[in-house]
Amino acid sequence: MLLRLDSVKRHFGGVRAVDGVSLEVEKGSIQGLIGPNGAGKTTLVNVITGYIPFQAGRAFLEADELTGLSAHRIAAFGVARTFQNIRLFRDLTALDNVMVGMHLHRPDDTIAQLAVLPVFRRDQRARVNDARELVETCGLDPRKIAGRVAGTLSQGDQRRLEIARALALKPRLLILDEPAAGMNLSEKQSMRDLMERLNKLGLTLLLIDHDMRLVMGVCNRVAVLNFGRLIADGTPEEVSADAGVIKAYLGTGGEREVASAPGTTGVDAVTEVAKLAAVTESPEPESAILEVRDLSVSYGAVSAVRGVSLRVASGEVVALIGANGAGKSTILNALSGLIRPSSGTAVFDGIDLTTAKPSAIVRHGLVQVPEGREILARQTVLENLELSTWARRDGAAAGKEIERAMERFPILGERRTMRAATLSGGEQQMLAIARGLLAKPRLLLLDEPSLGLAPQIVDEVFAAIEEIHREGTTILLVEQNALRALEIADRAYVIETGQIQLAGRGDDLLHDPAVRRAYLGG
Amino acid sequence: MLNAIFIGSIYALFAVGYTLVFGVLDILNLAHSAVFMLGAAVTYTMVVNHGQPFWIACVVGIAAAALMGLVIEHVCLRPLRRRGAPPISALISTIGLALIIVAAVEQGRAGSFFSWLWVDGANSVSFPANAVPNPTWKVAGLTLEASKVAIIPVTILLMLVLGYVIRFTQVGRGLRAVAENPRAARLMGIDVDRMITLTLVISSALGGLAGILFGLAIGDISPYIGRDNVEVRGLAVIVLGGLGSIPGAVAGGYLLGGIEVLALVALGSNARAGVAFAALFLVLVIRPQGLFGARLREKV
Repeated sequence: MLLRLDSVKRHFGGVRAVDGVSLEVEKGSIQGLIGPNGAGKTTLVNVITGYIPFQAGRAFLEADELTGLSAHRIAAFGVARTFQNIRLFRDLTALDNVMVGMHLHRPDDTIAQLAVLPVFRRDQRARVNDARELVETCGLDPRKIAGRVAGTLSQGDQRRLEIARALALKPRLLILDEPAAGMNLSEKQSMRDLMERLNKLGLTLLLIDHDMRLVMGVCNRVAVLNFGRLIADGTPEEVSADAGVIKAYLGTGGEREVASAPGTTGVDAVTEVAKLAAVTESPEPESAILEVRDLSVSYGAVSAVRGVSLRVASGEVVALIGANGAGKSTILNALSGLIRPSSGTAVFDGIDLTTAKPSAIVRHGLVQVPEGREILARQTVLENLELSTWARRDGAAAGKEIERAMERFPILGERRTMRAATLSGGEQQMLAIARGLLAKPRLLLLDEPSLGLAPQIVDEVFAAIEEIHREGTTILLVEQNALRALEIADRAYVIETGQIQLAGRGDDLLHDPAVRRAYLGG
Repeated sequence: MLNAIFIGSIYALFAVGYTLVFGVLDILNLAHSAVFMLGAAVTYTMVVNHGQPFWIACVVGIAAAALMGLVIEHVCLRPLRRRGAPPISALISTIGLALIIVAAVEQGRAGSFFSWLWVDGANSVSFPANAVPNPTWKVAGLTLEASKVAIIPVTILLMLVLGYVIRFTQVGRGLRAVAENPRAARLMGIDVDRMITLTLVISSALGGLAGILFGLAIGDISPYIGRDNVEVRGLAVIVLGGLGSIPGAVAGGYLLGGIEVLALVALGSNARAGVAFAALFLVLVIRPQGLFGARLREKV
């Protein structure tokens, strides 16, 4: 047993980010740690590595207790990590980045290095050689990159360099927090090779990632977190067949039973999915209110959306589903004009969404209710609602509609003079939806309306969405809760790593095993 | 005592402009002190060199300051914002504009290119007594000049109007939305760039007015009045009141004015600035979030 966690707990105010997690990581294994967005994975890692103090519970690395130690002492005990968002020393060279981590295992010889005599510089030379070896182990060519400033390396190389830096600590346990985020399939494959290589060298790995194919493929065991609790721990096969895990990822389909377990055979799922896509090809609407063609968006070197085409006809509910990080929100933000695509077109009812101002897009009737709700927490409920009529010219009618919105969502009427920050998550979601509706949308974009909500609140939110649709609003819905979204959707697109893998009628996709595979890998 | 209120009013007006921009943009607009000077200088030139009546001159002075707000947004801030530059870049670009404005006024001599703007070079001047309507009253042994007394209701009225606009009107809600969450504001159809422009125009108009009042009350107008009198003090005031808080800026302005006058009376003129900043230091040690610290998160 290398790492042992005993009822580790960390709450933030009322949020139970990590709520009594006990976990054992076998020496020499690759342990996966997965869970939906906000499940508490990164918080757990931050607690283990001393970035956030323990609230309760204990942690041991073999015989050494880690509980309550500061981050640098835990690192000295042999726990190294990489970060979800790369945290290299951007202005140091690649080699210096790695050498920074070496002080633990070599005596400080700054004074000796000041002397010119070569005999005193032996240590320095050994250090450079070690660093070059580590860089090479991680699949980088030291001759090419050693002298380059870390910030100028490609995203993938930076991730590798971060691993090399972590290895310089000579860790007993290496924690990788989303090492393959934003990578394409071949980069992911070589990241997987690297992890297997490091594991063969005797290193124990704890891997957090959203790419199920990667996690299920490389890990010996996988632990699953949801709402801060461990809901499963076992082999990849056991975990991906676990009903609780499937529910956590795909959501509950109301009364519907979860059918079959996803396949965990070694079949290449991409070709599989492509085949299925051909079968379930659905008639796209002839005339569309929203027409997106070959849309691509990238953040710097990372391409988040690659060549997505989709259409939404007036009166439809269209769902955009896919795992975390697939590029769903990026698509919506591009449609709202918050980010500009690198190529492709998007036209909504005659206006070009790739060039129009965000405010003009809202006035034209395309309104987004963003992920995380983004209500104005410091303003009152009423002020939030009043602000939403900004894009309209008809002041008096808007006042009446605000009254009507508060009748439709009675809780908002009751709390009209309270600050929005005091509302619960579900109430905030209702406020965000009500606010979106008051802008008189003809097409409403809903981004993860069920995120972080308890099941019965999710029911209420979906009931509200269906009612809005019955009243004639066209809806483009982005959801991680796929089964739930497919139930109310006329049509749906399944997104995986920035591309549409599957499209079809909501009912058909609901029973399509390929959907499950897109989420859970296999 | 009265002097404390006069000078405090000027600090308050000036600092409200500072804090308004900070609240919305999280950026310190260091060209604000140059705008303050410009308001005073343009008004003086209109009265003395262009023979305009005082009121017209005031309107032109404030308009010039407001116009400078547009320049700050379009030249110093928007291009940087588009490129996602860090706040420090905006700080430097506004310092640069301040230097340019001061230098331009400094160059203004009879016959020079800038003579329409200013003719007294680096010299300090004051409004001629006959040019400004300035009745005086004697009350209980005190001589009250209208030019000074008027500062108080003008300041209070403006603060009330500004407070009302921000709290209760649609434009004010938009401003607060932009201050709190520009992304959400955009999604609600608010033209964020336009709200920011508006903020800078209001802020600069207030700054220019503060400059005119300073010229009237203190009787000292030169290219350096902004830099020497209000730049650092204005910063002190908004830190004192709590960054981004308008009531804080008003209270901080009067407090600093009061402290300075007390120090002047008790310790002489040399101690004025020193004592004021010692007080600021104390406040920050005791209440790092400023006097209106409860409103620390409540910007605008």
